[in-house]
Amino acid sequence: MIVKFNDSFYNLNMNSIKNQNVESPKPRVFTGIKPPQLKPLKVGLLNPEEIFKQIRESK
Amino acid sequence: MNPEFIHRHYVISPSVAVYGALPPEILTPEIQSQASACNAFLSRAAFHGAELHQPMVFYSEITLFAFQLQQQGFFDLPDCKALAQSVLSTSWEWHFPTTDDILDCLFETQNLFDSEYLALAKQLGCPFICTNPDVKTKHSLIMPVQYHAWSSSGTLDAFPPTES
Repeated sequence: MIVKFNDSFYNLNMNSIKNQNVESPKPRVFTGIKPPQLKPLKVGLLNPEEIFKQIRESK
Repeated sequence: MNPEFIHRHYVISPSVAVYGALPPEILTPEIQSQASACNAFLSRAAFHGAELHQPMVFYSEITLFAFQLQQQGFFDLPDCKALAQSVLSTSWEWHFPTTDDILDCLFETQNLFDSEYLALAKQLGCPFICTNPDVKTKHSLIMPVQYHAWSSSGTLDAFPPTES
C-alpha cells in the first residue's frame, strides 16, 4: 500500500503554526521558598548533605 | 566575590534549596551555620529579584530526598510530601541542559547529578551555588563555570573563573 503525503494539508497546517504570534515566556523571578509546617519525629539528627550523598551513591 | 553582591542568575544545588524549607531545630548542630547562611542567601536572592535556575534532575533529587526523610523516620508521609511540594513549586527556572554540555562535565565529574548542575551553569554562564567543597576539584576542570560553596561555618568560599 502506498501512502501519499498530502502536501497541501501539510503546508496549510505549517503556515497556520508559523503565523501564530507566539510570545516567549517571561523568566521566573525567584520569590523565595515557603517553608511548610512540619512536625519532625526526630530532632537534631538530620544532615541533608548525607542524604543527598546516599541518593547520589545509590544511582 | 563579595557575599553581599547578588548576581542576576544562579544555579542552586538541592542541598542549598532544602535549607530554605527545613526547620533549623532538626538539623545536626555542625551544619546549622551552613543552613543559616544558605537561608540568608535565598532570602537575599528573593529580595533582589534574582533568577534561580535548575536542571530537571533537581526534581528527582528533591523527590528522592523527601522519600528518604520518610524512610528514615524524620517525618510522616504528608509532611514529606509538603516539603517536596514546597521546594519544587517555588519559582525556579527549569532547564534541560544540552547533552553535549552534560557529557563534557560527566567525563570530568564521573557523576551525572553534578554534571547536570555544572552543565547548566556552563550553559547559562552563571555561578553554581552549592555546599559541597569537592565540586572545587571537579569544577576546576570545567571552566569557565564559577562556583561558590558555603563552608560548614557558614562563610562563603568563592571560586571565580580563571583562565583555562
